[in-house]
Amino acid sequence: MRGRWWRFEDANGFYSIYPALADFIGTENAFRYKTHTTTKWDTRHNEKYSPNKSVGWRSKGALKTREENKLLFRRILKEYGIK
Amino acid sequence: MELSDFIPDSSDAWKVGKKQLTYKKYVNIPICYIEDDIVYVFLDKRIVKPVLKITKKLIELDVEFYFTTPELSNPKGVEDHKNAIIHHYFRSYIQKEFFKGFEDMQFDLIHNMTTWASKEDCFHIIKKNYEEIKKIVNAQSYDYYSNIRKYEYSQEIRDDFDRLYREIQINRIL
Repeated sequence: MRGRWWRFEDANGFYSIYPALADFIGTENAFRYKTHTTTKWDTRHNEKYSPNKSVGWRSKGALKTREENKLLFRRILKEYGIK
Repeated sequence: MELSDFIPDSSDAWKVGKKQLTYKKYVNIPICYIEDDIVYVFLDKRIVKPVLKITKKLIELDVEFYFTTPELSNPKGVEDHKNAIIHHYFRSYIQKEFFKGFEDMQFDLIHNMTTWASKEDCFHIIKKNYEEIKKIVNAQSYDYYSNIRKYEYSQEIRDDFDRLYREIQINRIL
């Protein structure tokens, strides 16, 4: 990975200029990228500016992103009376 | 005493290397090593759960162990390793993942640190590091829009850290 002119802080609070892949684990950004997943055909831009936005074209639940999987898991827990 | 004895579960992520035990999370991250029949565990925030698991296992086996900073897993090393280790002990203590995790298993991290410090004869640098971390814990900002004072760390951790130095001194006397 290319060096940066600013300091990179990893999850443990150590600084480095040339971060490796291991340095990104557990950082705030790594978790953020995991959560806000968008696929090629489903972007926030499309959702906002699509002529069909009022129709609700976005197929919720079919994308299997982290957020949607969480919702699905909660629904199953509720169904079985665990939560 | 071998490194394979400390593997807490049957997961494939654990791997025994030449000198250290590693845990695979995208890459193999070093988790512990043995030196002079003493186990040293890297207090790494990237792999909180495995660190807590291995600590539980070490307590069960009744082995002498201490924690250390992940910086020492890097071959380049650290300039002042004693200072870095104590700083990292405090820094990990205020992380909510470690704070709750050690609390749940009723493990006293600070007692472990004071034991290590008295063994290495570096008790005098504890106070300096404590003061440094105290500033980080109590850092606050004021939101003028909603008139709320915001803290990065929770009330429980801040209160606990305030009376921590007293506990350290008691540990030293005992």
